Amino acid sequence: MKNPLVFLFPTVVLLLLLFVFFDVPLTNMFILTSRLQRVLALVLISAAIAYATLVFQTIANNKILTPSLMGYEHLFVLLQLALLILFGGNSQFFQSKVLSFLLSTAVMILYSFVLYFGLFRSRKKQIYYILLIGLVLGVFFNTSTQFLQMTIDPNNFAYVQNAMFSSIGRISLETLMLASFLMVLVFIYLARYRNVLDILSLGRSYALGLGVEYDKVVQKQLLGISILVSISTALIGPITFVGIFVSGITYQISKTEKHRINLIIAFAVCMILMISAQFLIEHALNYKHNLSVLINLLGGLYFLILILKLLRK
Amino acid sequence: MIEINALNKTYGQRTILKDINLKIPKGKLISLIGPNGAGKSTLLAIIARLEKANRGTVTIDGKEIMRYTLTDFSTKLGFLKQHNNFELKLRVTELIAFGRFPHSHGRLQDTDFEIIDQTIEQMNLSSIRNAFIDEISGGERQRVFLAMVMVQDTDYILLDEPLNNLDMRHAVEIMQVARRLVNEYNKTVIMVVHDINFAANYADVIIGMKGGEISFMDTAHIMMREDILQTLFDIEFKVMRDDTHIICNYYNL
Repeated sequence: MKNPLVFLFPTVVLLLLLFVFFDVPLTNMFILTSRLQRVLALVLISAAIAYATLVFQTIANNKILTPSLMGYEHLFVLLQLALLILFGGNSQFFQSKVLSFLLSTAVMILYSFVLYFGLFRSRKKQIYYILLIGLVLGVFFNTSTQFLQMTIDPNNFAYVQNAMFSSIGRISLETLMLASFLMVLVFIYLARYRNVLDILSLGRSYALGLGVEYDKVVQKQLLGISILVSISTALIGPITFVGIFVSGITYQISKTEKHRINLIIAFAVCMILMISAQFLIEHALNYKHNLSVLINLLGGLYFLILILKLLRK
Repeated sequence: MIEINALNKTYGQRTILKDINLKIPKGKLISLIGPNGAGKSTLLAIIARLEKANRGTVTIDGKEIMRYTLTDFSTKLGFLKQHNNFELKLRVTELIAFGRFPHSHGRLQDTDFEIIDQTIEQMNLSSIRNAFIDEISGGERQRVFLAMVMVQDTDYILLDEPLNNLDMRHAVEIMQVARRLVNEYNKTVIMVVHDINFAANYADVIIGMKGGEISFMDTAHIMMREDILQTLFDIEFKVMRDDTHIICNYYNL
C-alpha cells in the first residue's frame, strides 16, 4: 500500500458516521449531541496518545517503550484515591467533575515538572536511567494505591473503581472544553519543533551536528508529552497498552520515519480502535463494559503477540 | 585553522587527554593515528562540540568553538560517527537530505536537491538511492553517511574511523573521496585511521597520539619512520618506500 491514509481516512470517517447516526432518528438532538461529545473526547484522547507515544519512542530510540512507563497512569489512580480519603466520597471533588479533572491534571502537570526539572533537564542522565526511574515510580504509585485501598470502606472503593476505569460517557461538556483548550495550547507550543522531530531520531550527536539543540528540544517535547498524557489519562483512565498497539500498527503500515505522516497514521489508527470499541460497548455489550477495559484487552493481546514475535527473532 | 590550547579531558580518575596543544592547518587531509585508547576519538568529539573538555580551548578560524551559535557551527564543521547503526525505515536519499538541514531548516529548496543529487552521483549511490539504509551493505552505508556529512557543505569534516569494517575497495574509495574533498573543494578533512598505510599514502599531515598526548605531528613523508612508529605503537616496523608510495610492514617481523 503506497499511502496507508488512503484507506485509513475513509475508515475513520465511515466509523464516525456510523457511530453518530447509528439507530437514531435525526431529530433526536439529545442523543446526537451526546454522541458528538463522546466523539470529541475520543478525538482528544487519540491525538494525545498518538503524539505522546510516537515522539516519546523517537526520543527513547525504542519502539516498545511508551509514556505509560513513566508512571502517570498509576499516579492518576493514586491521586483519585488520595482525594477520596482526604475529602470523602460526597465532597465537591467528586460531585463536580470539572474540579476533579482540574485538580488531577494540575497535579499531573506538577509531576511532569518534577520529572522535567529533576530528570530531563540534567544533561548527564541517560534516557534509560530516566525510564528506570519512571518504572520504579509507577510501581511505587501502584503499590501505594493497593495499600490505601485496604484502608477504605466498600462504598468508597466503588468511587476508586470509577476513577481507575473512567468512562467517556460520563465526561462533562465543561471538562471536554477545558481539555480541548489545554490540548490546543500544548500543540501550538509543540508545533514550533515540527521540523526537527525527524532529526531527533538520528540521535544526539547527529542532531547536534546538524544544528539542532537536541537537549533543549527533547526537554520541551518531554514536557509536552507529559501534559498530553495527563489529559488523556484524566479523560479515560489508565490505558497502558494502547500506546503500544497504536505505535506498533503505525510502524507496520507506514513505510517512512517522517513524523508528519506517522503522527497522522497513528491518530487514525487510534481513532479506529477507540470508535470501534466504544461502538461495540454501546450497541453490542449494552454498556456493561468500560472502553478502557475493552481497549486494554485488545492492546494487551497485541503486546503479547509483539513480545512473542520479538522473542522468536 | 583549528587551534587547540592546553586541552585536558578526564573521565573520573582517568585522564583521556593531557595538555594537548595543536595547530591543524586548513585545506589539508589530516590523519590521526595511534593505539587504541590514545584519545583520538575523544579529541575529535571535543572539536565537534559533542563532548566538553575539562580545561583548555579549541579555536576554529580564530573563534572559540563554544562562541559559535549551534547553527553557524553546523555549517562550519561536520562529523561522522564511528558507529552508524540505525533501525530506522529511512531511505538513502532521505538520510542524505538530513545533511542539508543546517541550510534548509527542514524546507528543502531546489538548490538543496541539486546538491543532494550531485553528491549521490559522486558517491556512486544512484543504484541504491531508494533503498532503506538497514538493507544495504556496510560499505554502502558508510558511503551514505559520508554523503550526508558532505552535503552539509562544511569547511571542516571530521571522520571517526571511516574505514572501519570496510573491504579494501571500499576503503580506497572512501580515501579517494576524502582526497577529492581536499583537492577539489578545498575542505579540511581530519580522520582517525587505523590502517597506517592509508594514512601514509593519502594524508598530507599525520598526527600520532599516545596515552592522551600528541607524540608527533608532521607530513606523511617525515612521519613514516621506523623509530617513530615503533615508539608510537610498541611493535616493530619496516618501512619500504619508492618515489611515490610508502608501505609499512608490521605483520610479522
